[in-house]
Amino acid sequence: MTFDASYILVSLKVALRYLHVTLLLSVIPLLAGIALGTPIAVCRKFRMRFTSQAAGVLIPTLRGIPLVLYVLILNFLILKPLDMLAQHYAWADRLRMMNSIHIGIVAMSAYATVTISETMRSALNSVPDGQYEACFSVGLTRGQALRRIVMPQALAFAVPVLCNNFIGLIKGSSIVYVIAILDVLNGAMSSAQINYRFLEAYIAAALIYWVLCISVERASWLLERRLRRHRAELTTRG
Amino acid sequence: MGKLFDIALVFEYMPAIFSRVSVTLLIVSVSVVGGTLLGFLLAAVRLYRMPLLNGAAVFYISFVRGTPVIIQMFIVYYALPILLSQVDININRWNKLYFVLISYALNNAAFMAEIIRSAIASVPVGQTEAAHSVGLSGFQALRRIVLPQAFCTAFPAFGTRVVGALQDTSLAFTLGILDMLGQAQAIGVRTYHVLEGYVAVALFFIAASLLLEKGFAWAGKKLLPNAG
Amino acid sequence: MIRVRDARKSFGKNEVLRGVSLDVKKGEVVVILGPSGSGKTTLLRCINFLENADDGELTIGDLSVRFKHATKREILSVRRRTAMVFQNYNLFNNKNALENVMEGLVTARGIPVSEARETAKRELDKVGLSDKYEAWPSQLSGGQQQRVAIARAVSLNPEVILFDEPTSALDPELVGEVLAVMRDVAREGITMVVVTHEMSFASDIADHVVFMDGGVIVEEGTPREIFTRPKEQRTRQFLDRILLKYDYAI
Repeated sequence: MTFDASYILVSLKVALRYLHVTLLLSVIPLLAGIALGTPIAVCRKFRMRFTSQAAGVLIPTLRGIPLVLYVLILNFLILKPLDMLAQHYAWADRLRMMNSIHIGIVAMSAYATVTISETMRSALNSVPDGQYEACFSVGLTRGQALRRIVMPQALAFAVPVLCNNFIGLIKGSSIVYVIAILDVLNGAMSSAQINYRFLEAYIAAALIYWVLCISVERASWLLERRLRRHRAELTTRG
Repeated sequence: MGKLFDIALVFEYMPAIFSRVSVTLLIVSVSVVGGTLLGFLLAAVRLYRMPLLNGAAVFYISFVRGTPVIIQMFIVYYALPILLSQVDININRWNKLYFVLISYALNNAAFMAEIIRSAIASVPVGQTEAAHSVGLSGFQALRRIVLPQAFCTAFPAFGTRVVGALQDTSLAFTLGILDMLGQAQAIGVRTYHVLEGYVAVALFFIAASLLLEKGFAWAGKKLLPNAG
Repeated sequence: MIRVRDARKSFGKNEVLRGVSLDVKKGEVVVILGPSGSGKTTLLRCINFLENADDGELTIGDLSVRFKHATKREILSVRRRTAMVFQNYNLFNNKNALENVMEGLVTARGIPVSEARETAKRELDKVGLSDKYEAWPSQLSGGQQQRVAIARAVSLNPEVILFDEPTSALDPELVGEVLAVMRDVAREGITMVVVTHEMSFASDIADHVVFMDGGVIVEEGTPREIFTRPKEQRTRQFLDRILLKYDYAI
């Protein structure tokens, strides 16, 4: 076997057709993770009854499970009951209300929620207690304090970490390969099924992920600079 | 086809699945130790801004951090034989595990290099200057003043990375390695009960991750009493 | 009028307040003195419900609440009748000086933005920061930050302003400007409860001085009574120690 760089281009073209799948598999989980993970973090920060205890046990536990197991287990848990139903009622064909992309999105979102709830928790903890106290002292409610004072400050801390989480999701999305979703990686592989140029196909896929991750990193840097406006002046003042 | 999930089978499969724990532990330890050693080299290249090498190191670290480990594994698997055949070394009969070990060590090297580099860079220049002012040589200043302080900064990040490396090993089965997850799938093919095996593997990862996290937190407190 | 009855608070085994009762008349300036750990800051924080006291009763104007059984709404209405100035300023880091003062007016009180802005400007002018409306907290000196914090408290027009060691975190040369602003506030007839170690402020401005030690009020009276004829041994010892330090500083 030799190496022929021209095949990288061939694979790139095929793989790029599935770019939107990889983006769906990472952007939706990112948003879902923020939407679901933030309330969990807030419950834990304010020690809400029941929810905070439950999250305090569940989150550190679930955090230990690798992403690939989320995908494999949820794939099974979602597909198998449907299969069994289909058998029981003797449906002609396998009932596929969900195709595997949806399963992939659900699994990635579950994983993202766990990860991002931890991000948001440390972001909330990064805001000094004095800020909460000042809010309460001028008569803000907990919700107002959170929305107007604490969250804007926590965000400055959270944005670079969220971007890291996002990069993790982009890279992680490649393992939906195990449930045969046609994403960038499997798209590149499909071209190799024809010409047996596996190395070139993998390099092509890698290049796409690399560009995506570098772009996110760059965006993170720009966003962070904007958000840290009031901090930046602190450092220039010396 | 029987029940969807049978908790008894989780425990029934555990011995068979956990018998492959050595594979997982081997991958983690080789990738962490190898990665740390290589990481030191890369960090040195970056810190001393060695011409040419520095650019290559930046490129390498960016690539590894910006691409999925599963792809890196396959690239090593396909590229290494080609590269080595150029110097007339034939590794076509190598056990696949070697490729996994090499790719994971290479992967961790990039992460470790960044941890080490930023930890050393975070030690103020004044510390080195102070060391020189009392007559320490450059190497002495590094070894006795800078590195111990950098160690404190790097330790928590190092712990996080080790847990990450542990979780990354869960992808080795895609290359056909018969680790715990590979075993769970083999059982699944035989018995049509794959979920129970997955749950058993998940339980291992939960326990191992919690153990490592607690261990590093404990060691952190022991080793770095004044790190707050 | 503020009335605290039998406030009690423990942190674990440590009993910080062992039944403190305090009366503050409208327009009065009360200074609380005492060694560190005497419970004076905790008392202030309990009045603002930043700590939940274990027992006791609080009356502010026509509002009476039991510390232990206060509902969320009661806590909020207590907080909306009081304001607090903190030792380390606690300006909102994501708001500039003007917005810091406006925040409570607009969000908590529901005052229209334009009106709140006028109020905020007026209050900042009064503390001598008419040129710092747009400044971020990080661009202000400690003394300036504390003056914004005082403006923030005064603007809410509360029934009482609680000052928790407002000058303790300041560099010595910045203490004067903050004390001067506090004197102005006192002259406006605003009710103040001040925890401080500034003896000059206590003797010049206070209407009433309270000495706390070990979680109880040991002695209280006019500044003249406390400073010139303290009845209790513990008060005398504390004053001797503080005034001695004070002499050295001069």
